[in-house]
Amino acid sequence: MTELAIRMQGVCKDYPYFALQQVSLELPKGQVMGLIGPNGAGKSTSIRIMMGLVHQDSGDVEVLGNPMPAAQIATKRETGFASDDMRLYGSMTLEWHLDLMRRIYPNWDEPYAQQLLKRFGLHAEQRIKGISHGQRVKASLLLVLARRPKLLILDEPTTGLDPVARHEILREITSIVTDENRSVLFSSHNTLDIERICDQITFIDRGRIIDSLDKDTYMDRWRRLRLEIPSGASVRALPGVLGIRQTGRIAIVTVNAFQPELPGAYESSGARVQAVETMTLEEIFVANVEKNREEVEA
Amino acid sequence: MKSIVYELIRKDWELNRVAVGAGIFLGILAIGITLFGGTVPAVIGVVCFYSVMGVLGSILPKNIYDERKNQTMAFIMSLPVSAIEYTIAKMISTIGIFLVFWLTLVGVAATMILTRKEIPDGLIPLMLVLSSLILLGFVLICSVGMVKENESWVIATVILVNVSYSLGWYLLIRIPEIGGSAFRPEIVWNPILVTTLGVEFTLIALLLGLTLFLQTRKRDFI
Repeated sequence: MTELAIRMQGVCKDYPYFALQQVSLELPKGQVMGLIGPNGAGKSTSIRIMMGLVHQDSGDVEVLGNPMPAAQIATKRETGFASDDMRLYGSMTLEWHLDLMRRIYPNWDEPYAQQLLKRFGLHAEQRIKGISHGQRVKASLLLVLARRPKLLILDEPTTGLDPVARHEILREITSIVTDENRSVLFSSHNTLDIERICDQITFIDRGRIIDSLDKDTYMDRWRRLRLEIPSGASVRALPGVLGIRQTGRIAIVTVNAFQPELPGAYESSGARVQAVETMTLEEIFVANVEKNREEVEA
Repeated sequence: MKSIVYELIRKDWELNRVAVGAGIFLGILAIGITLFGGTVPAVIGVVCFYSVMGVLGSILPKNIYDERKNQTMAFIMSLPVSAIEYTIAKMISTIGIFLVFWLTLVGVAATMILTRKEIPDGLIPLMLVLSSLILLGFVLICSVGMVKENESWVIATVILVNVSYSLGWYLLIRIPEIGGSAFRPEIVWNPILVTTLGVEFTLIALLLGLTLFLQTRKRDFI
């Protein structure tokens, strides 16, 4: 049986204008999961529940084998959490923050912290209020990484960063999972980042998990077929087809359960298959969200 | 490794070191004025000290809601700390800072009363009752700040508490068993005085207990 870093089962949380509904997901140890969703989808709420910062109304949550929120202290000792809206103390220096971490975490890796300081171009004696957004994100990440956490939970850490800073941070996150016992949950609406570093993908929209699967299988399931159809004819939705957009004699068929025999099936129905294209994660994300919303509203 | 509560208290003291330093400096300055001798410097010194304490009493609750306002709460709550440990640390650090000034004021006032011949010793119980009301007010402000986590609530409570001091003092002084023996040359304790002090400290304990209880019932911390 695969050991899990995170397990959420039927988690619900109600707010006046938002509800997390029956959220279930599993992150195996040693894997990087990308949690993708539009703004307000429930990514941050799910993450806060995992960290014990918000208590679920119902459902079970286990992080590193500990039930949450009951065992949040033990969990937080081995989990690093950083989020886009997390701030450090502006009036204090980075060194002050480092010192606080050294006192709290017995496993604090000082040589690694010094290495990250140099690599991220940070100055320990600098006050937090005097540094840029990118440096602040790097500082937060440094404070988390040098604890050597078994699980890293990052809530949109690359939002608002320039490409160089983003690259530096993603490289550091990727290097973490060379250790098979360490896992990462990475939430973002930047699909490029997710596509680059994640093994697992979970889509969330309007408080519901739409899909959760390993990235390669998932990406492999999605295709876009460009068909030329006889004039006056229309395209049938065959099994696995998510949506069809037709303009004149050209039809674009989006498939979310692609089978190699599908193009042949369209050929035998009279259409000419011009192209079978793979889709980017962003295209899949948009198609998935739109389809989910249509189903919910129907 | 020290406990997380200790580290959080230390953090708050370090974050508030400027306010604490300035408060101690101004407090010592106010005490210095009273040492000039005579009634006028004594009155000016005591008024200045009370003013320093009043300003601190209004500034220190910021220590409670600033973490939410400045979005540092997520950083702190991501550390291996429970909500109840966080509350205990926050209450100890904030009330602890205030207690430094409160105890100094009470100590200085008691020393002045006992060492100056022109000031009757009978003022000691009254001074304790009135000063404890200030402590009670501060704990109330902190409790509201902790439970509501909202600047507007704290400001409203600060205003209410500051207005209530004058009324509370006036009412307490008018009780014969409390105000009546203030100008006697010796310290006079009576059941009403002791009960009043007991009620003040019981209310402080109840407020702290209620705050902890309400915090344990909270389900969302950021």
